[in-house]
Amino acid sequence: VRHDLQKAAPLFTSIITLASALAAPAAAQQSGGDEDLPHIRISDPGRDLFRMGLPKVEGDADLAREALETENRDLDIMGIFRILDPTSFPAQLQAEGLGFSSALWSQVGAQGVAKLKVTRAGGGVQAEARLYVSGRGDAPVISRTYRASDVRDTIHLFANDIVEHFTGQRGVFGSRIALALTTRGNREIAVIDMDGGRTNVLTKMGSDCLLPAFSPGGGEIAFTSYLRNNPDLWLVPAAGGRARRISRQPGLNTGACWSPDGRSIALTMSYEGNAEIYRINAGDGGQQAKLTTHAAIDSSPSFSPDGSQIAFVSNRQGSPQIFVMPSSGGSAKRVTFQGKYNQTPRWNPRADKAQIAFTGRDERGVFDVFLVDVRTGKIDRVTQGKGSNQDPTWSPDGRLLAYTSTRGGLYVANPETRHEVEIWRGAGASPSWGPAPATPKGH
Amino acid sequence: VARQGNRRTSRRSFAGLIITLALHAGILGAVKIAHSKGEVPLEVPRDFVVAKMVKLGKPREKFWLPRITEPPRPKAPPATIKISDDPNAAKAPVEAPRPENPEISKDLRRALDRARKLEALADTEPEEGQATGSEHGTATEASAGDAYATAISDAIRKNWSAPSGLVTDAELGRLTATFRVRVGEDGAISDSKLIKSSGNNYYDDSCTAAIEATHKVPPPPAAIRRLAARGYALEFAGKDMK
Repeated sequence: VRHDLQKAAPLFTSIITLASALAAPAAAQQSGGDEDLPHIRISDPGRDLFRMGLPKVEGDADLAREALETENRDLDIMGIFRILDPTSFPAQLQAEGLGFSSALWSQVGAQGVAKLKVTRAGGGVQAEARLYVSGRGDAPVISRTYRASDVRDTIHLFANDIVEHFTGQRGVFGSRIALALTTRGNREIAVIDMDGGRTNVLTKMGSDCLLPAFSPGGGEIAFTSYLRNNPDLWLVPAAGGRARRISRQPGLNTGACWSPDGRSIALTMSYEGNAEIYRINAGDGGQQAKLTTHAAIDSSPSFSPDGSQIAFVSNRQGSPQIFVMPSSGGSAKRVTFQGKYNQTPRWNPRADKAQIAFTGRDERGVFDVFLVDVRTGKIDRVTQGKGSNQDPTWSPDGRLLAYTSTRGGLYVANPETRHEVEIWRGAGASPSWGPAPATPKGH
Repeated sequence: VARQGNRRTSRRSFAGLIITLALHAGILGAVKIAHSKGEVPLEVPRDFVVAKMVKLGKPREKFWLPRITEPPRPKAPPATIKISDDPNAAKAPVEAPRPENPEISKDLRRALDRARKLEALADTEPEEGQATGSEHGTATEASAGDAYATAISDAIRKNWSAPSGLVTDAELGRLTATFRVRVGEDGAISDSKLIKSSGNNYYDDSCTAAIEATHKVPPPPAAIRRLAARGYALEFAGKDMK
């Protein structure tokens, strides 16, 4: 019997081999799925902003115009939308009210449409708002009623929801930017709405006030003033009021930056002879620590979002470059290895980014805004070929950068799309973007 | 006893052989039936690769701050190049004119002159190519499938734009969405279906929009009509890295 099995074994093996060899193509034939279709690769799409249609605003005529202007501006500032020219909209689209027909809007190239109806309500303004996205059917993706004291604030609420819909994170409209505003003979500290709407001058010192820094809670602004004939550090309430002096060491008390918890301020002081970075108590100005000790000039501190590190400028290796050190001081690591003059580092508040914006002078002597990835040292350029651009400051959500330009004023750019908008015309320096506005109830 | 045992063994071997043959026949029959049920296989499906080349230029000084450079985008249809046709290969050497032989008869000389004139004329003719070809192309003729796949790729790519604010440059390199489309005899795209999402809705939407906006591609050549009607898997890749 054993002999038989030995003889038969190769035969059975051959059956199995044959069966599997023949069964495989048969199975493929039968499935006929999408997987075995010939593949055609299409790569490298064009890059364009999301095309947004903003038709006429319904409701009270006087409010409607301002509402449409604010809506246009807010969506433009976000840097992710291209607002379509409304003169290209056929009459039937302008007349469809708050409704939406995706087929019609697709014909004018719109990928999204935002609609508004504004009316007066109880001393304030009410806005019925809709956001439609083509490819998501004819039903709105946002359908809400907003209420605020004036038109702009009402529209900002809608704009913040639109940002949240597209990015997953609420927008920051309603936040403000502090800057050193050039007045008649000197500079005073002022705050400007991030859409350039309202300007509020906070100080009346009559001597130069420089380098404002918004506190993380938004209540106070630290700045340096020469009022007492020395560059001392002062604090002024962001809502207006008396300024108080918190650091008055002989020599520099400049370049303040708040720790993310708002308890301490890092700044440059020179009372020991050389410019070094120190940490002081934000309440009473008491010194907490000396963070650098180097014969070179160390200045311009900026905290990382978790407060564990500080970026700063030092010329310890020759030219001014961006360095990073632990926020308790200690060994510093150089981050920028391109360019010969890099300054004003500002750490992106987004914890997932490890990114620092800074002002760099390129090989032609032009100042522009750049980004450096702290982990890789890779540098990206944000501005180019449009005057000189300096002193970047991050929006509280880390999606936008504001900076001054020799074109005359304050600009906001989305570093991802490089879409840039002039938000304010005037003479000012070293902007500092304040925190996001409180989220209204029901959001 | 021994003889009896031998007979029994041979009888068993014989039975085993019969069973084996029967099984083989059965399987062959089954396979035959399976084959006859399915369609006759079309062209062997293959991937169509679009080749690209790096722009020629001077590299930037290493320690300068970077400049914003837009990636060079091809104006003409992207090039398809047969790997076998090396674009850098030297051209065939031009033959130097030989000294004339006085021995040659007048008639022969006249004939040669005529031939040279014709040759000179031929030189002024534009280089032969295809109206549907690429300016970077080196192949004189593409296989019908290759050329047609490129035509489809070009037609759709022209209408494709990924929203830069919603799909970041960094994300783009990781995103691929695959759509199944069928192409009719007149080139009309039908039956478009997402078969593998990129995971990013806005990216998928941009591909859908590109297919919708393209709506119609050049009609497929007769030889591959059936293949086109059966469908293609359009693989939308954010960045061309394979």
